[in-house]
Amino acid sequence: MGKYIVKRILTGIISMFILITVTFFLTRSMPGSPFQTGNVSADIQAAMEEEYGLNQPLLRQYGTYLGNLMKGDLGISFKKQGVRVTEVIGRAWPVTAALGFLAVLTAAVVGTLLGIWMAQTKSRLIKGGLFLGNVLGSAVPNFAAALLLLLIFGVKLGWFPVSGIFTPVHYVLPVISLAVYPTAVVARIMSQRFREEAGKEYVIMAKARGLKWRKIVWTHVMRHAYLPVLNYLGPAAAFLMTGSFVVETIYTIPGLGREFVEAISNRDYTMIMGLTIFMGTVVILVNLTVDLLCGLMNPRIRKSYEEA
Amino acid sequence: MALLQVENLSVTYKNQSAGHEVVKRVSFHAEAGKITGIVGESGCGKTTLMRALMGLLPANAEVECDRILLGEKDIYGSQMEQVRGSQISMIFQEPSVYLDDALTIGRQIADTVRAHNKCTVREARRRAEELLDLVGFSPAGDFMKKYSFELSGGMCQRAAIAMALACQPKLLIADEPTTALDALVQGQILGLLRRIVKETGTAILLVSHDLGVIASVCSRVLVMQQGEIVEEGQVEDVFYLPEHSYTKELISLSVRKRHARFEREDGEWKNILELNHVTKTFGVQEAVKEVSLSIHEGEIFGLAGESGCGKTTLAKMVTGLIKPDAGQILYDGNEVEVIGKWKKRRGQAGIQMVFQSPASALNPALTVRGMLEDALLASKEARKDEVDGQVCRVLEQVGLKGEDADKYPHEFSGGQKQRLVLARALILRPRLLICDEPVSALDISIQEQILDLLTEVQNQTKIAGLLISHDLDVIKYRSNRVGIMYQGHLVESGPTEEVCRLPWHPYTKVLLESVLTPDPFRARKRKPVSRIQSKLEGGQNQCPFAPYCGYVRECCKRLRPQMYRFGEREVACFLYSQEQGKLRSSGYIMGSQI
Amino acid sequence: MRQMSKFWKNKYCRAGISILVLFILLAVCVPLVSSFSPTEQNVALQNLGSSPAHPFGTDKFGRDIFVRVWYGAGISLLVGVLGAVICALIGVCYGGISGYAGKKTDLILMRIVDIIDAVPSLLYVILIMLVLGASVGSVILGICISGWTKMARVVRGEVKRLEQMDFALAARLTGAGGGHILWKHLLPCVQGTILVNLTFLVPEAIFTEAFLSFLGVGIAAPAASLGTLIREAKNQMRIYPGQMLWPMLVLCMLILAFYLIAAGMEQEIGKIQEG
Repeated sequence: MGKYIVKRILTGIISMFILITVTFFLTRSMPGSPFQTGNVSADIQAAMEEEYGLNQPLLRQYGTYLGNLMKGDLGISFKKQGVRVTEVIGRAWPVTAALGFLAVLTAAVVGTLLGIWMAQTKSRLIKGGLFLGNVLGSAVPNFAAALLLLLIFGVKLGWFPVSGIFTPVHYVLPVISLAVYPTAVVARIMSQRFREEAGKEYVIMAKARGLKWRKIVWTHVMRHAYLPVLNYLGPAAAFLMTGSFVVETIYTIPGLGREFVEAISNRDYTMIMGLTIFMGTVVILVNLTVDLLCGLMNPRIRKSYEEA
Repeated sequence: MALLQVENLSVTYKNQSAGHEVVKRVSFHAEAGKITGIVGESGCGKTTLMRALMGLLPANAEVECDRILLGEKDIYGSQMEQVRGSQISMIFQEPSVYLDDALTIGRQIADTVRAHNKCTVREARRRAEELLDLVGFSPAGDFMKKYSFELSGGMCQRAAIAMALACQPKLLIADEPTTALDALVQGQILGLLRRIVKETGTAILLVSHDLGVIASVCSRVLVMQQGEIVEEGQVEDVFYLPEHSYTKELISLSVRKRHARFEREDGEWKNILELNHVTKTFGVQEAVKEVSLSIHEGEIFGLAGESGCGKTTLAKMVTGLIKPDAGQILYDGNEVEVIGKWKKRRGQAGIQMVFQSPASALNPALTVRGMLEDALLASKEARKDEVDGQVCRVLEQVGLKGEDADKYPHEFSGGQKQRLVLARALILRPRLLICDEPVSALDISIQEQILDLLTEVQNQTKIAGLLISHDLDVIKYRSNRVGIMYQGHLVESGPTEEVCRLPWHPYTKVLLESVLTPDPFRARKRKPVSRIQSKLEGGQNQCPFAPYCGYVRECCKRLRPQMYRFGEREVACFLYSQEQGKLRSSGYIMGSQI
Repeated sequence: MRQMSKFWKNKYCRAGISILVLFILLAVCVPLVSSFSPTEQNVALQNLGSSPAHPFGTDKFGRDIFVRVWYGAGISLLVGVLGAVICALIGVCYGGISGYAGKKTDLILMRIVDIIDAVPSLLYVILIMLVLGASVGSVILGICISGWTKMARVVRGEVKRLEQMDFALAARLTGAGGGHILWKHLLPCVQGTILVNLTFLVPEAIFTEAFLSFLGVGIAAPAASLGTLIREAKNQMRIYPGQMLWPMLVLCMLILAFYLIAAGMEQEIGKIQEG
């Protein structure tokens, strides 16, 4: 048990380290300086750069940054006066987390049910319809879906609010926009795996034992078919995280995504770095958890650890 | 007294073209408390018939029937779900894939119990333990928590039988239950089936293509050909006095003909292959343990033993695909070079191999010509302009035509594919040909053809051969000398005819007897079923066959026997050791001690 | 290659290929033939609706949207296909070597893939775009940074499965070297899977490019990538929804076409393997 967990956590730590390093050097390589906007004279620019420590050798800056990171200090925003990056994250994080969680839940539940339906239905009409729906869901990019939903259901029909995130109703359109693509993927995986597993011999044996079809599906088939879906949750988290950039911008939601997009337009170094590192770490952690869960769920792996 | 009566059952598959009638108006009956056999070649419809009885056929199969009487009730058309598992149950051919490997076997048995009886989880588990005990697991409690991938094929089948008996069915259908199992295990499972009939009164419908299996446990038998029953009756009547021509054909095909063996001229033949104390361990599993043997030029050496005994591992070490952990392998006096995955390697194309499964032995993406040309060019055995000629030559040598070179493997039948595998091995003009179960995946009639081809090629080219098979019948008439392997050890070796006529090692005797012939009186002599222990005592320092040996003594459980050599025969059994033979005079010519 | 003709029989493939061919023709011909330039501004023609002269209308700078959309579609296609092909090449080589290599090499190579996959690549890509500046080349680079990992995993899995088969062992017995076995014996068996995955890679690349352009870090105005067009139009979408909807429609149809082809190919290959 221990070996697998340790190895996986080690990979996670290495990923985080690489994330931090690459982000740091990339941000520092961006052309221009954050203080170049507007009518700032060269002297003032130089003075500000010195105050923020930007004129020190790069490696020294890197070291300082790492040191601060250990203490949980992500620095101060260059653009928003005196605001700590951690403050911004603290404020924006719950919103994005809620959106992401709801989107994953929707994708997992709706996708699974759609997939099972698609695999079991005998009507060619429904099968074709679901298949087309699936392909459409994969094809429409999340920002396009968000804009369309906003236009039709928000503006034209007025059923849903178009900005802010105050009441549960505000969640509907953004969550749907985010969840469209993952739902389609889950449905496709589920449908394929379900059909594969349902044709396997242990299902025939289960029928021969006189088990009811519903019991066979939920006790036997799903146990095997669900694993790849669970595996997908890792990449899905990454996809949703980046999806939040566009969805939050379009729906004017004060989450991490919107802060990130703003930070990029403003060339706000510390914000960009802090947000990137935070979001990247969250995704790494989610991937880690999913991997461990999958490993534990598989009795073959579990058995080999119990013996070791 | 008939328990099951089927009247006019037909099964038709609805395809794009006209319907394909697989079972044609079959009527038969099975008696209570007896084992009824159904025999026929693969494709005759027996499995379809059984699945039709259970209602397990796919949606595109149309079943028509007048009546299916189980006891007094007509169950045709009724809700099969209630009947399945509770009154009629079924076990299948490959038990490990028919069990779900994500749930413990205890759980699966308990589920079956609860599917038909209203009882608590605890009661179901208790019943599951009872059943595991009934089928031979001891202690049963230990096996409740096992998963199917932790059990061997035989153990999986026992678990499947336990599941089938969970609700005390009146009839158990066994569809080729032992076909995927070894000879030893097959005997155990068949014995178990007989014991179950005696102890619980369940009737069994046993389906098999193997006449020996039918002859050994069934009282009545039905012979099926192309969807119809062509003969039925008591087993003795049908096998000793067959009436229908097809039955006669089946019986004659299942007994292998004697052949004139290739006899080498006497003289000094040097060793083309020598193995000295070769050992290979995979993790904790000892695959091959201290095997020493040698093969002379022009000789066919047969290697027999059940699956898992290390024959294939040994073959791979001989060809250089795997590196031995200890010991030496000499080909033509030089040590065999291990073939790394990446490096090119010349000069060892003299050892070639024929593989078991034609399905995986041929690359589906290459044409025959592509594969043969590649073999020639890669080994630099021929120049580019000679290649065409070589391809045609070798195709004709194996009984195919030159035009076949441009086809893909899937366009050939099983037997033809095996010929292609042989062609690929022969095109490099090897001096030692290793045949690893070359015919096990083929029908019996085709087996003889391929074996004949091998013998013919050997007559022409005088190459040496290592013929590996789990079926001693294959080796009996086609090899000069034979070696018997058990769990990685070589337990006996010597001239084939002598060893098969008068085996010395107890395991060899078991192996010879496990070949079931369609002779009911002989096939019915059976040893009692052994119980499966969860922990075998002993381990390293005992004779590997001790737990199953009928001649076991104290010394066998404490020490491992060496190889004792007497003239041309060798045997690793304490029965032949000096200590045991203290009372023998010097000049005593060793004979069989069993 | 003989499988190509089988794909045409599949109705999804047919639909997808038809759409694709039509779009390619339009993307190539419209910018050449049209009397309007994709970048020339003309205040007099601001915000017009659809008309025979301007099938998609004009935008707030007076540029003809029809020309811009098909020019943008061309960019999307170029970036998508090039990016996908490069990713596939890297993935096949990496996966092939990792699958065939010994345990240690395979472990290290796969760890690297795991680490790359652990972080959402778009995060890196956005940063890279900012560093390198937006252009077709940098977008393709961004796509290729982590787009190859899925192909690598798939190819590795297949190669691992195939190298144990008897025909691979037989090839080793003829004395062939590893590279030869991979290239001539193993990879040909994976052809179908590689093709399907490649076809799935293209719409993903197109999506990535459009996403980046929509965010403002991709191909920038005045060049007309579909994502940029949508970005420019979204602020006016309540008044002039058409300006946003036309590029969106073309973008979705383009991605859809590739998905249809890929799904159809997957179906056909599944049938070949079953029967």
